[in-house]
Amino acid sequence: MSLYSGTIASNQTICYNGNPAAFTSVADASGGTTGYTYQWQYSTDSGSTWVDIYGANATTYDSGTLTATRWFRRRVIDSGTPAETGYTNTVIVTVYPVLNAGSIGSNQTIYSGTTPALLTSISGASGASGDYVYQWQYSTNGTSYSNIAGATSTTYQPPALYANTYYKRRVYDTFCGIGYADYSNVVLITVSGAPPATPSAPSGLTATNIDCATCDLQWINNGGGIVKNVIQRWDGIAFNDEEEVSFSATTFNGFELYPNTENQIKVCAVDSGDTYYCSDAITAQTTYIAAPTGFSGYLDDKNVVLSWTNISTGATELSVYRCLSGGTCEYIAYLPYSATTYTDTTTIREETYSYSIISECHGYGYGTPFIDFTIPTAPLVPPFCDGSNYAASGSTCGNSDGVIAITNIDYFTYYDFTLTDITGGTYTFNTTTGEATGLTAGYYFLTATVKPEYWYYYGRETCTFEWLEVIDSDTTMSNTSKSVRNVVCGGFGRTQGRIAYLCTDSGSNPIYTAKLYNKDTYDLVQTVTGTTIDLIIFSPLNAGDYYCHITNDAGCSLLIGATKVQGQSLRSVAGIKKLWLTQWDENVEYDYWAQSDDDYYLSGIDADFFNSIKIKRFIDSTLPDVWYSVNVQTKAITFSQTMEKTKQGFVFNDKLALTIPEADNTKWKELVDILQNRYILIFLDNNGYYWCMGYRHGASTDGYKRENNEYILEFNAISENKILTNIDKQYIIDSIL
Amino acid sequence: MATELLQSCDFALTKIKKLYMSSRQLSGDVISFPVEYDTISGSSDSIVRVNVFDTDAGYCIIGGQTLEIIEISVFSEFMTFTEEYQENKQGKTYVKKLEFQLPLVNYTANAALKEFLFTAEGQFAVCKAVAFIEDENSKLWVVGERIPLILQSGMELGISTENYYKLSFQSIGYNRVRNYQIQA
Repeated sequence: MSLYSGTIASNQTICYNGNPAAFTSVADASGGTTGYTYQWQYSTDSGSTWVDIYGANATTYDSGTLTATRWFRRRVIDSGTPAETGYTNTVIVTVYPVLNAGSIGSNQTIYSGTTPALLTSISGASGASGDYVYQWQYSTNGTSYSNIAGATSTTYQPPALYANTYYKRRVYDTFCGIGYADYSNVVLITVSGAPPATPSAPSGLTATNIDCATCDLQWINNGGGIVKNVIQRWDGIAFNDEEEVSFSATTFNGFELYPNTENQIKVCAVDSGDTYYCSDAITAQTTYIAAPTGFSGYLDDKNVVLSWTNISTGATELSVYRCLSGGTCEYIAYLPYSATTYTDTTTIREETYSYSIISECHGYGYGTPFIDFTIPTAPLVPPFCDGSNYAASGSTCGNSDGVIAITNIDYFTYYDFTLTDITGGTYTFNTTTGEATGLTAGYYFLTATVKPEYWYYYGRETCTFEWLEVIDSDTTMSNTSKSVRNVVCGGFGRTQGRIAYLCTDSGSNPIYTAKLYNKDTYDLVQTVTGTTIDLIIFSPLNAGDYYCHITNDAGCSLLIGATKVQGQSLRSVAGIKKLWLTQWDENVEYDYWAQSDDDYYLSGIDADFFNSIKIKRFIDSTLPDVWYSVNVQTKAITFSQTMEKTKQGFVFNDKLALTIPEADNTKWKELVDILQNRYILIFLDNNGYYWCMGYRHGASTDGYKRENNEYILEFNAISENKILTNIDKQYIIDSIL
Repeated sequence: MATELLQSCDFALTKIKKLYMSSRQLSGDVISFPVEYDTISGSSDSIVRVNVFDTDAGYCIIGGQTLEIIEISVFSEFMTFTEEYQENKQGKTYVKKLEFQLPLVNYTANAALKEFLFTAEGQFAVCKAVAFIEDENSKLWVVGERIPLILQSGMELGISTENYYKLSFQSIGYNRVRNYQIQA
């Protein structure tokens, strides 16, 4: 007997995501070779393709939940060889579409106690079997909802409400049951308080602080559901809205009025429907404003003096309005309302100006007619180069705030000026103020050149004022003294010039830079940098005039003006004109020059000089005898110092020879007396220098007679390593003369 | 028998236009003799190279030494330089003599002279000097760079019919005086 596959049951219809009843075996397989193997299969395409269901090998099968229609069958295979295969009938499980509750509209805001608009159905329910049951629900908190009795249609009319209320619509299908219910969106009815009262017009409108063009307004707001207030002003034809303020406002300050007019004003309450509820109109008369009268003026040299009479009873200010002949106009001054005069000092010569005085009030202006003035040419001034017609005012440390000014700006009419600093930087003068500003401390050079059109009067004059000083007024440095060593215009001394500046700095700044400039060439001669300002030395220097600029690291400057290094001429007169002598003794004491006052040498710097070059004085009490004066004639006395190489080394030998004419016994006896001693000699040469010999070991003497009947008296001294020694003139005056 | 040189030469070295002398280094130290120097590259006659010669600042640099230089400012008539060739027991030598006379004895000049002649410690040392000469043909000569110029006995200072200093320097060596050139 051939294989019989059996039959299964049964077809079903279920809701979306429903669980169909288990499929039953109406008849199991039979026939063929006993020993059957079952396999359940499903299809989603009406049985075109089948899929084995894993583990479904019994005669019956219970499917899980379904969301789409499916077809099922059971396959059987017997135990024959070869095996036979057969299939049962097909059963269908039909699944309805998912239920959709649709949507409702819409949110509303209402006054408390009023009835909202109908809640509409924007879209109805769909899906499932199509047989729907509606139920409206409400909530006061948006979380827990309650059914509204009898509200089962697609729309719903809520009652009057006093609190915020949420609504939604529930839908279920009669086939699927309430277990498959769906809900619409939620709408919220917002309750905003009691409904507004009926608007009322403001009352009690008053205007205060009325001036030429404004006033302050006050009124009583009577409320009644208005949304704003509007202030209106009569323009001669109708009231127009001018200002809009909030519904609660009761004042408005600075309301603009028509000047010199009786202004009519109202304030209106406006409701949401843009209906105006206006107060009674009031009248505000502005104060009087008009152009000044009696406007006149005159010229005071280049200044224009204006005057007028003010006839306004109210204005905020006066302004002076000026136009140039070219048409450019500007307000040049704003004056208090009480002003009646003004002087314009900013004019330029030979320019024409027009003036008007304007009474102003909150942007309204009433001006006088213009009056014109032509500024005359400048009166000729004294030649600039004949005087100090400039002034330099100080700067402050580290700042560019110094000023050099031409004291009379009329000079700009006749002269061109250039101002430069020591580095060649240039500065410009403001021809109105006469000032060149932005100057740092330092030296400046002002050059004035006559303009060609005035050569006929001043000539082609050009002059330069050199080394003008702009000084830091707050500098901490000061110059206490200076010492200058001059140069000799030849020999070894031409570049031996030196300037030593002794300075102090109360600021105790550690680093200084000192620059020395040549007066004539403006050249920077030397720069010295150091950590102490006590002694600043420039050397070697040629003869000339020098200017010094010292800066410290705090940015302060110190200017030390012209310092002259003189050149000592080599022109000289030969010979000796005076001689003094006194006896020498080994106990004679003397002092070399040891002070720098009245001299060119610095203690501590020029040690050689203080050890041998100049004697300050003898200690008179150590001299064994008084000083004697010897009358000499230049031709009759000579001095020389020669250096000799000896076994002891190099020594200087000094020799002074005196010729005594007309030898006789009396003179010889005096000579014999002189020859018995050793002497200190001081002589004055014809150039004014005082010299001293023999002070160390005493000058020996020698005397003899020559054939031409004259005695020769010689003084010889060894001065060892001392070049001919100078002696202080004041000592000669005080102790010898 | 001494033979005087330069008498028949076209250039007149005996006429000095400018004279600079150095008796110490700028630091105050004595000059180290012989002064080492470079020669001008490419020169065939060993021209001495002076790296810097700053008369305003008063120094020159030659070899590794920075020498303090002082201009001796005198009319040419009072300043002479001669170089003589001699043959004697020491062999063949050149004797260079530099003499000049300065006017006006005063104590400023004394101080300058002393500063030149004395050591930095103030000792009268009769310095060893080097001279830089510019002759009237603008040729530059250096004297005493090997064997220094020595102040001779007879240095004189007079106040009589004249008012002057007279100084005489001499250097005896085996080489003739050399030219120098300033080249950084």
